[in-house]
Amino acid sequence: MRQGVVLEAVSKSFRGFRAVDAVSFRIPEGSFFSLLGPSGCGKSTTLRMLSGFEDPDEGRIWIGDQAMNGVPAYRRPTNMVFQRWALFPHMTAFDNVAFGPSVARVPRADRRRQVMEALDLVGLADFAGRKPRQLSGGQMQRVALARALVNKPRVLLLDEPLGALDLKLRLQMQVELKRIQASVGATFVYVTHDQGEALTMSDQVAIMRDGRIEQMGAPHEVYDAPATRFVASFLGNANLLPVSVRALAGGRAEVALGTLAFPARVGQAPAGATGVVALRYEAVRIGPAAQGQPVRTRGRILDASFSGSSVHYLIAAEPGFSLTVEDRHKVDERPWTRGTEVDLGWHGDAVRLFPEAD
Amino acid sequence: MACGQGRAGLARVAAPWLLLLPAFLLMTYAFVLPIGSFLEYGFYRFERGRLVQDFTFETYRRFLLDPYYHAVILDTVKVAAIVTTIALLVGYPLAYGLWRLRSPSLQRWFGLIIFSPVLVSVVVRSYGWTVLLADQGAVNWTLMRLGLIGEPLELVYNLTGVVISLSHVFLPFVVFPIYAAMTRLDPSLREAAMDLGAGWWTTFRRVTLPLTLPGIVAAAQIAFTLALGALVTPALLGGGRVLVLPLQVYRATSEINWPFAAVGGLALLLMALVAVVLSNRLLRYAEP
Repeated sequence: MRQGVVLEAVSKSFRGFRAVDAVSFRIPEGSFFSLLGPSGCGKSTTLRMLSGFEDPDEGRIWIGDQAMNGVPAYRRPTNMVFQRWALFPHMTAFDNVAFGPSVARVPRADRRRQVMEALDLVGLADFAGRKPRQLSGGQMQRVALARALVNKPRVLLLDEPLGALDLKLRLQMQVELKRIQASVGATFVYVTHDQGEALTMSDQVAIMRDGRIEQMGAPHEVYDAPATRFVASFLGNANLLPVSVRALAGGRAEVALGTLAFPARVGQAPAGATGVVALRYEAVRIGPAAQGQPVRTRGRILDASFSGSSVHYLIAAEPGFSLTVEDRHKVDERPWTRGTEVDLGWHGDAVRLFPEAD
Repeated sequence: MACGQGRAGLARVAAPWLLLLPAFLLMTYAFVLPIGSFLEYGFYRFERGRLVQDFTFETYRRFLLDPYYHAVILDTVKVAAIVTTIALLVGYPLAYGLWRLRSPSLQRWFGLIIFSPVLVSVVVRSYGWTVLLADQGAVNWTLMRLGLIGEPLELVYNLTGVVISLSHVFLPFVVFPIYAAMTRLDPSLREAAMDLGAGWWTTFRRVTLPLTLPGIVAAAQIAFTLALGALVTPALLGGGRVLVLPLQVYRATSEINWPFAAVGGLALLLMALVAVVLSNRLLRYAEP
């Protein structure tokens, strides 16, 4: 017996453009799964194939042990929260949420109770009588969530639902969504281009690009061990530095950047003698903190930008390359100023080697 | 500085009024003043082919009490109502089909075809219909050849002919407001309805139809008021059996019976006004 959501080599083309190209994955029942990628990577099309708005050209989709190919949207055990929420403008919040139950012919009294429970779940019980135009963006978002959840979907599909909200509200809704997912126990499939969102909420993240899945795994796995150069640069901030490869064996390599030689882990082995290493901004230690690090060099600060919790330094390193370093800002510590000579250091495990061509 | 701001402020306040001024002047000269003289002429008397300028309710009394005019008013409203209903029943599916077409170039072509009745002069169009709808015309011939009818239907020189021709020419006025309302619909609303379990019909009834209601109301208002005022088509296709009010007014003016023409004209205006006000009440079902 199958469980959760399964895609088997699913493809979809639009006028010859292959939007989704042989994508396969398995989402465990009741987990929070994110499809992450830049716009046009095929993540929304994948979601629309799960919802039934598009039918795959090839491959199979399963939800539980039901094959979904050819099943229309209104017969699927899925519900969707749309990008701009798509609330019915001529209906109150109550009627919007009641739409699903009334189509399913739930008796009036039960319907009322279910709708109020759903509105309560998203904290909007007092707003039942309002029309969408009388609600704020955050409230509309919650109504859309309640409207989907009231149908008790086995799988909830969310298409960048927080994209139109401001930052504070977005962070708040991320916590809310996790809480709601834990309380309803449905499988959540979340599409976003915001890596922070995906990493914060997901049990599993699939990073998509050009219709294919580049890498899939738990957030810390894909962040710490990017499998491709694209994933390394898309998740978080990484310096991509061109290196010459001196030795390559198993998962490890010895590389050189100008006069500086250091070890690296292999993300994807380059074919020739040159490659690119990804070195995360926050993996580089600066000043006294660089002391104990296995790889050491020095550099001069070209620019410093302070952003509250951290400071970004653009540094010209002595071996002849420049890199960006993120340093956690501590209370009462003045950021380094431009022109200062500083020690730099990092751990070999923080460096990942990829082929030059992407 | 303060002065400059004051001037800018004044310009801001005055600009919309200045832009509205030509329309105001035109409306006053061509609408408000004539209505005034309508009212005035309505109280005059028409006796033995001559206009008598005194003050009497005679014309109003006759208009309101004479059963002949009751029949005329009823006929006028009936024609307008039937034409509006048919134009909406044909026009809404047409607009829907146009909206669901995937190819923009096909949409343009069909749009032009739907618009084409307006391009033909009303006289030419009316004679065209008399030819098509006549006893030996193409419509009756086809129906008889198909064996659907034994003898020709009376399709022209009666209410049927007038209704067919008017519904035909008002079609673009009905299709385009509805089509415009449809293109303003957020496509994800239909998807949302289907996602929530609604099939095509429920989605249409509970989402598409209420949200395109403003287009329907606008279309109905245009078709109804145009049909109320139609003169040439009833004159040419009615065969003297469709005695709508505009025909009566026209006849009155040619007899220089100004009092009756004025009262008839006011009655038409009032009927149109009532129709517009009543149909506007429907809009609350579409209110956001």
